[in-house]
Amino acid sequence: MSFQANNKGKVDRAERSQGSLVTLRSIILTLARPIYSAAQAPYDATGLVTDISTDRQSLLQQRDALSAQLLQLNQQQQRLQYLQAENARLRQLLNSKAQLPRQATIAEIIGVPPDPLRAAVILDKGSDDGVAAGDAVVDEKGLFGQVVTVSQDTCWVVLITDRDHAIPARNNRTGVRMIVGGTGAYDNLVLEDLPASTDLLEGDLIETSGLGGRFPVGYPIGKVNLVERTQDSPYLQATLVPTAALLKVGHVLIIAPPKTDVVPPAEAVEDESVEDNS
Amino acid sequence: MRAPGFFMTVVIFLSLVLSVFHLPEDWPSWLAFWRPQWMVLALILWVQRVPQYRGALFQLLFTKNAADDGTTTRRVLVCVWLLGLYVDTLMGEPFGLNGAIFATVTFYLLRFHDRLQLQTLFQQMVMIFMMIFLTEILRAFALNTVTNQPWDLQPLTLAASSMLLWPIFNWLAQRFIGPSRRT
Repeated sequence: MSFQANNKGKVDRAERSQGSLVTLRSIILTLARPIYSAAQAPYDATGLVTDISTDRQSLLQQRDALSAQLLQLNQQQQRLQYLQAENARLRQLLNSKAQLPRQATIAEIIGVPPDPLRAAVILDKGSDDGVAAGDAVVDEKGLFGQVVTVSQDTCWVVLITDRDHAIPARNNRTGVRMIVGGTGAYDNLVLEDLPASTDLLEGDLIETSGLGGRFPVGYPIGKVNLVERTQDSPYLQATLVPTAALLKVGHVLIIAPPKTDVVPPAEAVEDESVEDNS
Repeated sequence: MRAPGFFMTVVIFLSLVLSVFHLPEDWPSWLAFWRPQWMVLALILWVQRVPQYRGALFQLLFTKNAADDGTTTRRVLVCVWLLGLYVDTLMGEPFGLNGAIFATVTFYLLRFHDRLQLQTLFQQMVMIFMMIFLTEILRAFALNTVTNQPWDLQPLTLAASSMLLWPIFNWLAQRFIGPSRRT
């Protein structure tokens, strides 16, 4: 117990000393916004030209397709509301906490680092829009990444395929918990340290498990495309293809964690005293 | 020399924009491994001519009295290091990495300024290749330590593409602000 408390004190101090650098970085990042906008300008201009030159016929076709899609989504939404209400009732019966709603913000990708070894993007929303470091980012097909640095009106997002990134996940078919790690390649994720006896098939959908509290539960991460069991290894080799379109430039959703209750002051005081003793 | 301050501001702004510019997704991805180091090239262009600048703004910011080279060197080094902090944030790299790279390049160029003036264009290109190759190795080492990024051939390819771009940079500078040599 005291070992944990000691470590917590050290971590707190390290975080506090890094705090000023984080603030400095966030201020400089605010100043960097014009550079990102200028670098994105050619793409915005080509988009504008396409918008202007699109003819009436194709716009009408597009509108028809979109209204058909809207109808379909509305129908699914009705079903979702019913299921959510039922889910809340069942959770109440089981005496477990209801899942708190999360706030989602639409953001546009305004920059991609040109270094091909970096898996990151820059978005046009920042602390002014309620974005904080650690927020999850998803696109319409699945999990995209997480916010690492925030300025007033921009944020850096590390993609799930980054070499240093890992996600607590579970198998949609069996519910088995696992960890999905990035490999640095845009179309490849790896399942880390799974025992060879794990029930895993090619085509299984892997989704976020919500453990750790950073990523909301149930967002698809990827589909297993390779499972290899070798005689001499106690672990199986498995890779998956991310479902999110990680290479595209467009819009994504930033999902903030649910607002939890404030930490009771008694606990905070206890932490302080522990730190003083250490 | 004609208005070097305005020309260099434009060059440094364009270099900042080009260093965060990404190619369209449907272009071949290997092209990204040959992106030139725009900021280092712009910096070399600026620092090469530092001892000749006589503009009022430059005098105000970088010189204490006309004969004091030491003060100018120190202030230029601090200035490029601060620019490095900005580039670090722009590129999402560890704080201080680009500052160290820029300050190293600047120190070398100022320390051996008189000797470098005698170089031909080809010799300058070779020097730039070596300089960017070494700084990219420093960057790769730092990123390998901090973010677990693997080693690859980028130090060589980036240095080669930057070297090939130098004649254009040099020609533009000669055209707009005059030669770097004392005549």
